[in-house]
Amino acid sequence: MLLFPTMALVTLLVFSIIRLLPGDIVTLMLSEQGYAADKAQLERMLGLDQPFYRQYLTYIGRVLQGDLGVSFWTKEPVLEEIMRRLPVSLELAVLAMLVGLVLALPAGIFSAIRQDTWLDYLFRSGAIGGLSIPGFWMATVVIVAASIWWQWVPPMRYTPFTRDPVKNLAQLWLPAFILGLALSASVMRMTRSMVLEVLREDYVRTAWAKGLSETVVVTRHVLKNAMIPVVTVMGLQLSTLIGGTVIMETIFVLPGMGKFLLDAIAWRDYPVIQGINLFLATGVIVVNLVVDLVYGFLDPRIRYG
Amino acid sequence: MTPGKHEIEGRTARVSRRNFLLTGAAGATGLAAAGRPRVAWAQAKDDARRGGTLVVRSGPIRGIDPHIETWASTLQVVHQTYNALLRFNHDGTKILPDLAESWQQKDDVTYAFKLRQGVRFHNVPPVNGRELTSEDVKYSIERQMTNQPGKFQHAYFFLGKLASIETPDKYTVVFKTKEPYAPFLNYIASPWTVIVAREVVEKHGDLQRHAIGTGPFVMQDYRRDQEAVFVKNPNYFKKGLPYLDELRLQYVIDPTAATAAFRGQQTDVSYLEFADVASIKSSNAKVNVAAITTMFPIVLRTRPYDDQRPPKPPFAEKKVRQAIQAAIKQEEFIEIVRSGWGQTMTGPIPTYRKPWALPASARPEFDLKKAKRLLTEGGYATGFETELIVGTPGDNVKSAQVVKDQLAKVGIQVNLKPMEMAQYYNKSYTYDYSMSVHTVLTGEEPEEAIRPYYGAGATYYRWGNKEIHRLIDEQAKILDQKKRVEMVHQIQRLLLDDAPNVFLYTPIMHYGMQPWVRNYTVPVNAYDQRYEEVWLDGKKA
Repeated sequence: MLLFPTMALVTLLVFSIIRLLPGDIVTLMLSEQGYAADKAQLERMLGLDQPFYRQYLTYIGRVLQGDLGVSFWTKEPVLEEIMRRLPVSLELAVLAMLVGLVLALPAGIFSAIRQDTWLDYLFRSGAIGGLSIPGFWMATVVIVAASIWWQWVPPMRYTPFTRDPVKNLAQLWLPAFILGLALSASVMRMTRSMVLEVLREDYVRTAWAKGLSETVVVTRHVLKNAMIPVVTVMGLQLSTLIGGTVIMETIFVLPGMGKFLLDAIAWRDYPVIQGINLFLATGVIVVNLVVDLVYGFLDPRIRYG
Repeated sequence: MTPGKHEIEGRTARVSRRNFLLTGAAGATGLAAAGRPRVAWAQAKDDARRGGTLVVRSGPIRGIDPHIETWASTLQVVHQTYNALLRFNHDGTKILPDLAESWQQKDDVTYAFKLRQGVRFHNVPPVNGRELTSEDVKYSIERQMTNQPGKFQHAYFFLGKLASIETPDKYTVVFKTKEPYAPFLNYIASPWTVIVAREVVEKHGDLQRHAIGTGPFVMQDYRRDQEAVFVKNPNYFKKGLPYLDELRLQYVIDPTAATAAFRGQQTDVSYLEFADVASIKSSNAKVNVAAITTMFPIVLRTRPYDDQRPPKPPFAEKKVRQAIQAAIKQEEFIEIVRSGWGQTMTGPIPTYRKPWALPASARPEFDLKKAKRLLTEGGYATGFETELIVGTPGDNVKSAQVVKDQLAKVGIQVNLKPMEMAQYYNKSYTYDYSMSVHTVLTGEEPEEAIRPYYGAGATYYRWGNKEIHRLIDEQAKILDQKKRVEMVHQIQRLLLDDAPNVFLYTPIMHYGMQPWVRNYTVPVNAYDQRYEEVWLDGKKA
């Protein structure tokens, strides 16, 4: 139920902050022309001559009707542009999440149940490495090194998954892997410490005492109970992931939302910035909702309603 | 460039031999059949191969409407899909025929163009391959000069300058200027003054996403942050061209990714950072790299002024500005910022733009003693403190640091204020700064390097020197090229004396070409990029 006030607040914040930033679009647009032109007329054309609250109310009114406006620069409908790019960013985020989970969960569990063995040290060092190496640096090194040593670079031409999954994945696996690696580090560390904690619980000792096999103890008794904070961390990581996709999309030439947002901010394209942020905010809210629902599944004691 | 000379050039244009043989270019009677100067790896035309796909790395792009946008990456699309009445040769020194087969200046204000017959628009709706006529020319020029602030960026070419555009028949266009207008032909030959079809504008509202013209390639797909795909125009009026079947502009913004893509042979032609050139050459000796001067010089500006914004100390004092000029050593910028890849400047017009640029002898001397003396005479014997704004990211931040170091030697303490581009432009175009390091835009037309900066009503910069305003207005009315060159030189010398700006350097850029890319003449300003004559050899074809 907090959904609507949250959204209203987000739109209001984004709407006002971008207008408060030094550097306005009217000057930018006029700056390209070598000769004096009419600033007031341009403001009128863009609807920026209206008082702030009027602009905001008009905007909200349109958003409620599903109209996110048109880009100041390209005059293209914002919603259409976002919908075209959303699948790319979404796919990258989902793949990165998958990579992160596939790497983090087994490593975290192993580290915990084989605590202080060489494997544990290896995974933990790896995780610290993953946490401390920024994604953009990793991506740059990978792309530069591969191109120098093997004259290889991931394909630059984007192919949608629906048209050719193989080509699509050939382009996406590397950025997804790099993003996933960074993601897996924190998830792995959280998994490890939660599993360790749960391993010391009385009911786990009871399970061992019953003579259950390690697999059953870990998967049935430990894992499910250790997962709640891990899911929380993953939910929180999603916003980091979105930040990461911006850079990955630039380096790997992916036509996603990240690049679009970056350009829009640089050029003060208000409707585009507002539109993308509306989507991102919705995304974060939805993910948090999903995380909350997952709690209920993981721990039946948590009830909603 | 006198009009008379143009008339002769129009008829005896030094088009390349293949052009002559294949098109029998109507204007080419009495043609001097010398090939134009080409880069070393260009080969004879006879062994040109047909077919293949050329992939070119392109930069950030916002839209592709030639009458609206100003970006070089837009021009990469425009060149492949449209034609203008006239065009410049690759070093910008001559005007060649394009859609017009000949032209004539009848008197000081009248220009008549004869169009080629049988030129057809691309065979796609809504034009469906219909013939181009004089009406299209009239429509296009009128559209380009639409007076709409912030939109039609090239309106100033002709806005308020033309008395009439007449179309006595299908293949004749007659322009009358209000008064003698020396830049006229240069603007007609500008790569932005292309001829578009009214139907396309009416169908799509503008041309930001659709490029339907008469050019060598037909646009098939355009995705602003991915790629633009073109196929060969089978009905191109230059018979036998283009050689390529397909052309793809790949939008790669990140320079690291662009270099990697070129190394990995995913692009055939690519702009390269100078820092990567040596290692690319060493890993593949067959790769060709062309070094080209740009048309974007870097200048150090002092506080703008005009009637509304009176000059402020210390920059109000001419001797202070001259002192700054004397304390600046251009070579150091080229060495430190560009590792040697830059050209010194003699004035606002880049030195390669002959005969308009001032000779080397005119260049202000680097002389610290003189700088100190001027500062003392100007009343700032102990120097002063000031602020310099610069947009990030990019080379200009480095240049700003060099400015700081150099001016410190004469006691001027410069505090750097790097800021994000949007904020920087905002300050820059509200003329709200003490000093700045700025990248300026010039063009084939010499006044583009002076009028928008120092002329009356200029917006890129403001300099309230009325004498300079008057001379800038005057030079545009002088049709005799020799006399006009003299006056443009005079304006530049006045600017050096008044010293509102110090001209730092013109960067040299690098274009990498895979070994199989043939017959690609990189234009001298790296701006005008046509692929109609490019062909692919060996591996790619």
